[in-house]
Amino acid sequence: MRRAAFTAAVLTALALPAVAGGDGDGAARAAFLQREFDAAKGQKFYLVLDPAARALELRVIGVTLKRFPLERALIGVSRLRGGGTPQWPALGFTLSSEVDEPDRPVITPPTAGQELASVEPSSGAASAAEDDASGDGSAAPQPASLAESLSSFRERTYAGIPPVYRLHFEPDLDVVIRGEPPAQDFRSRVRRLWFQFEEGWTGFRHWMSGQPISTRVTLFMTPDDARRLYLALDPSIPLLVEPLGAGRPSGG
Amino acid sequence: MSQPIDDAPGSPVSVPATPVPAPSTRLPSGPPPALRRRPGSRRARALLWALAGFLGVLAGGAGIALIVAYVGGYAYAPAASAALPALPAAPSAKALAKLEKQLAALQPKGTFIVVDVVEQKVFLRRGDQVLREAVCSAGTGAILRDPKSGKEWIFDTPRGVRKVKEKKKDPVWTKPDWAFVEEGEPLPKKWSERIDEATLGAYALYLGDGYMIHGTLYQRYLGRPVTHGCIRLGDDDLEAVYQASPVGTPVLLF
Repeated sequence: MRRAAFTAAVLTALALPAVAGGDGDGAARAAFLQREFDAAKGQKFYLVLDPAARALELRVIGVTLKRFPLERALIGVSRLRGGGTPQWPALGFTLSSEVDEPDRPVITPPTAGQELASVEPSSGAASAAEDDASGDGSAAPQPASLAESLSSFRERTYAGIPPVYRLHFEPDLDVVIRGEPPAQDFRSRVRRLWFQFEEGWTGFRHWMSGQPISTRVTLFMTPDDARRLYLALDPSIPLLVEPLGAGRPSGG
Repeated sequence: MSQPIDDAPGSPVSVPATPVPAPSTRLPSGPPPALRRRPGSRRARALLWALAGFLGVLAGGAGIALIVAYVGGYAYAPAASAALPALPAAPSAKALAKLEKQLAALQPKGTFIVVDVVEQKVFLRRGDQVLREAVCSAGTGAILRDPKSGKEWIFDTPRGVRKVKEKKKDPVWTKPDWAFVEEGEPLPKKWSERIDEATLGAYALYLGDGYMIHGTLYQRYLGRPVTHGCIRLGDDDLEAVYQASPVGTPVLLF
């Protein structure tokens, strides 16, 4: 028993410095853990950007719910601000951009003489009346068009979500999500060049109008991931930057 | 060359001498036939100059536009290479371990359920390990408006952290008001008229506020957002989730 305790103490003493790493690493890791703990204990969603692993993760209570692999993760400082080596303005940020509410279909209950409720704006759609919660158990299933109409409404909603968008986080961070296929062909390279051109002009216009120009992070992912991420955004969702070399805690 | 004129009548009248052109040795005036299109050629040349000028302006404009875009743009580097902000002094290894422990304490200890309400998937997980993945049906996101009372219901599956509060085999569903409103039926006066024994399938896991994970009569709709906010599973998946999830199991919906 005493021997086991001694072995455990020795192993812990050996392991702890390895976890802490160098002074800088230790400080960054501690700052990150503290921020993650603060975000996690509120039981709200938060995002963790791991530039080294090229991934953005949606987490809650320390659990990764969805991992968005990144083709590339870039950080940039406006040349109008002097350019230079980019530096993270902070390790933790809060979304300040507004998050749009999705459009919702409206179910109109049936009036006398009608058998089914109708769903607007899906034309010709019936209601969600086929749902388990609406009919009695012995009722025959409603036509597939009911579900299909709602489903297609949902798909249309997703189709309306842009795969490329910009989010502003405080303090001083713009995150541009670029959901697009990897730039492998000429067309996609031209598209990226055009985007840089537009970005430059927008930056210039902001500078001319005296608007602040934030440090910018551009994350390249698949269009589906970009849309899914958009739907996962909560107002004021925190974004944490995982410092290099900081591994996940092994718990959970 | 003019001669004096005598005004006196009868006097001979002198007429100014008309110069007689000397016999010319020049070629006939006008361009030779080969050069007859010279005015058109001038126009073409002018057009060429205009085009060259236009292209020059265009190139200049494009150049300026590119310069502006470059100057207004960002000097990018891989995000992994960016410097971190100034940080306080590194804590002791013990403090770091304590932080990790605190964070780990928030995470579920055993099995937990993750529901992706957009992709219509349910995952039974332990840590990072996925024990089972199932297709489900989640809320439509639709709004039901009662034309009589003006009351509204939004059929969303709630996002966030919940727990399995109760589990039931052969569950009975007590139909809420919206189930009648949606059908255009009057609200029942007797409680017994709200009881539905067949709809929820073999098992139900109650998540609070009327939301459940349960079975369905309409398995062909699995994978589509067609519910009023509950999560429907197919029979086999429902049984597996039911068996693996004791009361208190965390349910993470996103």
